[in-house]
Amino acid sequence: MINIIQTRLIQWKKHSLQLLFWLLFPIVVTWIVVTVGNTFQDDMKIPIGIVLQDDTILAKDLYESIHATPFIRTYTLDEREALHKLEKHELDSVFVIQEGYEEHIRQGSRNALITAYESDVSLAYTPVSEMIMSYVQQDAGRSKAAYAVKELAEQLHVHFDWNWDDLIVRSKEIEKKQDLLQTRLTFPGNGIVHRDEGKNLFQPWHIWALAAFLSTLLLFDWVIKENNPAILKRFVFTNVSPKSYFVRNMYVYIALFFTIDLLTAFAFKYIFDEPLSLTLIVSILGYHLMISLGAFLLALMIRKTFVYYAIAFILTFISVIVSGAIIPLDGLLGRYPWLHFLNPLAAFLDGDFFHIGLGVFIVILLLWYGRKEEYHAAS
Amino acid sequence: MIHIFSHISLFIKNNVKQIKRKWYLLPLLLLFPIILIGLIAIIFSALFQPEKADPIHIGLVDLDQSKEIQMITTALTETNHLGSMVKLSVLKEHIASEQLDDNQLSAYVVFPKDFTNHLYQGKSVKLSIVGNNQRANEAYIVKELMDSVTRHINTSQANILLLNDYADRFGMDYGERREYLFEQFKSFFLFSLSKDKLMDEEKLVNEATASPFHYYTIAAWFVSIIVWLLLFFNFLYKEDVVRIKKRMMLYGVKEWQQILARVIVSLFIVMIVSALFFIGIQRVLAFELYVEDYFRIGIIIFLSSLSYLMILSVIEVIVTSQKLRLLCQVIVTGLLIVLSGALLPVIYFPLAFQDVLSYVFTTEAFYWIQEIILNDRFYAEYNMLLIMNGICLIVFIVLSLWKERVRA
Repeated sequence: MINIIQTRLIQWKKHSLQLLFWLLFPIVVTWIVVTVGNTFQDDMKIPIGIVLQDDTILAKDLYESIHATPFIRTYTLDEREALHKLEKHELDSVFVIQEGYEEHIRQGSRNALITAYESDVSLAYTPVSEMIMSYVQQDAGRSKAAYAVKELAEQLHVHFDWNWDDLIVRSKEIEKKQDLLQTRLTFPGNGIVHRDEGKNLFQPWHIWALAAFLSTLLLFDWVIKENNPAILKRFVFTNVSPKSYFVRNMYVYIALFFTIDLLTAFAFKYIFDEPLSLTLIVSILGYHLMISLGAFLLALMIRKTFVYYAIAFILTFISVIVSGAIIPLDGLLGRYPWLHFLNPLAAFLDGDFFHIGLGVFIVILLLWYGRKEEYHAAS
Repeated sequence: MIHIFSHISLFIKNNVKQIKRKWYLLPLLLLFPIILIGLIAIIFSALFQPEKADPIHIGLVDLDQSKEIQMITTALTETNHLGSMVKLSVLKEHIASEQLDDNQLSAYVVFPKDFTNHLYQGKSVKLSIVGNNQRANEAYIVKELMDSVTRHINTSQANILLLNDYADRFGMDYGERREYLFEQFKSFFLFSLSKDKLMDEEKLVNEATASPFHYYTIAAWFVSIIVWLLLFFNFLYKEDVVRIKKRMMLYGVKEWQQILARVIVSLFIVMIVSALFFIGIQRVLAFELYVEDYFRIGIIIFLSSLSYLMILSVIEVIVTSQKLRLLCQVIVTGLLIVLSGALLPVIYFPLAFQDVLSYVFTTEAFYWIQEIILNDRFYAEYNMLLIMNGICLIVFIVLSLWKERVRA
C-alpha cells in the first residue's frame, strides 16, 4: 500500500496544478453559482408600465409606493405607448391609475380605481397586481376608518371636529410606528438543504454535490489512462495484480476526496453559514463514496478518455435536471415516487448515508474483483 | 491555397466516413436535446399544474383561541377566497406536526398566543409557517397565501388601532371597546377580502401566436440547435496520437484545417436537422410565414451557428486539456443559452445584465427569430451577427497561426 501511495504522490506532483483545480472545483463553482444566483435574484425586477391619469397627491403617493417596491421596475408612460409596449412584450403588465382616484377614495367608493392590463405572456402579473391592490386597499381602508370614526362620534354623541385629511395622517403615523405582522417560513427535519426563506437562490450543498459529481468523474480518468495493454503488461513483473493496483489506488483517491470534503464542510460553515453536523459529514462521505465507486466502475468499461469525459458531462447534466437544482421536482415526485431512486443526490439531500446506488456499486465491484484476472493468467 | 482546400475537403470526407461508421450514435445525438427539453417541459408542467384532485392541505394551529382568530379561520375555510385548490383544517399543534411528518399536510400555520391582544396593542407579531420538506413548492404557495392574508390584516390593523385610540378618547369603556373593535376587525377583514373589485382587469391578446407555449416551443428549437452543434462538433473530434500528428505536420496539414472541416460538417448536418424540426414545429403551431421569412430565419440561424462553432473552435485551440476544454465549452454554451432569453425572457433580467446583452449574439439571434415568427416582423438585422462572425474568424485564424508558429 505504501508503494502505491508513493507512486501516486510522484504522479500527482507532476500534475499538481490540474489535480488542485479539479479538487477545488466544487467549492469554487458553488461559491460562484450561489453568489451570481443571489445577485440575479436581488436585481431581478418585473418591468411594468404605470399610467398616471390622476394628478392628485394620493395618486402620486400610490405611484411612489409602487415605484419603491423592491421587485418592480416602473416606467411612467401614457396609455397608448404603454399598451403598445405591452403588446411587444417589453412590459410585463400595465396599470392605469384612473382619473378621479383620490376623489373616489375620499368618498369611500372603491370600484375600478385601477385598470390593469396583462398580456398572455405576462409571467408575473399575479404577484404585481396583488401588491398594487394591497396599496390601493391601504388607501381605501384608511378612508373607511376615517368614516368609522365619524360614525362612532355620532353614535356616542361626542362633539368631534371631523376632518378626513387629519385622520388619514393619523392613520399613516400609526402604521409607520409599528411594524406589525410578519410571516416566517421554516422547514423542519434534518435534510442537507435548508430552504428557509430569505437565504440563497441556489442551495450551496446542492450545487456542491453536482460539481463534485463532475469533478469526481473527471478525476477518475487515471483508470483509463493506466488501463491500457502497454502498462498492464508491466504488472507481470511486479507482485501486485492489476486489479488490486486499481482498487488500492481508488482507496487513495477516495481518501483524498474525504479530506477535501471535510475542509469543504468547514469552509461552507464560514462562507454560507451552513450548519455543520455529524449527519452532514456522514452523508457527504456516503455520497462521495458512491460517486467515486460509480466513476471507477464506469472508467473501467471505457477505453478512450474523450468518450469518458463526454459521458461524465452528460451524466452531470442529467443529474442537474433530475435532482431538481434548477426546477423543483415536487410535483413529479408526488406522482412518481420511484424518481427518487434515479436521483443520485437523493440520499445526500435528505441527509442520509445510504443510497441504493452505493449498494449496487459495491456488489458490482465485488463481483468484478472476484473474477479471475486475465493478465496474470494469460502471461 | 489549393492545398488548403484539398486538405479541408479530405477532412470533410473523413468526417463523413466517421459518421457513417458510427451511424448508430446519430439518433442518440439527435434525440438527446429533445429528450432533455421534453423532460424539462414535463417537470415544468407538473410544477404549474399540481394534481387537481389533490388540493394543498394546510393546517391551522390556533394557540390564541380568540374570537378574532376563529373569525379569520372560518372566513378562510368557508369562503372560497382561497379557491378550491386549498383545504384548511384547524388542528392541535402536535397533530399538525405529526401529519406534516406523514406527508398529509403541505404546511401548517401557527397563530401564537396573545396574537389578537398584541395586534390591538400594536405590538409586532410573527406568524410562523412550518413547511413540509417533501412538498416545498406547496409550502411556498402557502407562504404566499399567508403573506397576502397578513397584508390584509396589516392594513386593517393600523385602522383598528386608530379606532381604538378614538374610541378611548370618546370615553368608551374597556369591555364595550373590545366588542366594538371586534366588530370593526371583522368588517375590515371582510372589506379586505373583497378587494378584487378595486381593479378592472383586462387581458391584451395581440396575436394568436404569442402565447407562452409558442414562445417556449421556439425557444426549445433554438436551444436544441445550440446543443446539437455542441454535440456534433465534439462527436467529430478525434484524438490523434502523437505519431500521427507528426506525420500530418510533415504533409503540411494544419490543426485548424481539421477543426474547420468539423465546423463545416456539423453546421451542414445541424442546419438540415433544424430545418426539418422547424417544419414539424410549424405544422403543430400553425403560424404563417412568407418565403422571405424562411430565408431570414435561415440566415440568422446560419450566422449564429457559425459564430457559436467558431467560439468552440477558439476554445479548442486555446485549451489543450480535454477536460478543461469540455468544461469551457459547456460553460460558454450554458451562458449563451441563458443570456439568449430562451429560458427566461430578457425583460425580466436585472438591468446590469441587460446592458451586456446587446453584445451577446444568441440574444440578438433569438430576438429576431421571435420578431419574425411571433410578432410578424417583416425585417431582420444581420449586422451584429456578421460582425460577430468576422471577429470570431479573425481570432481563430490569428490564434491558430500563432500556435502553429510556437509549435514549429
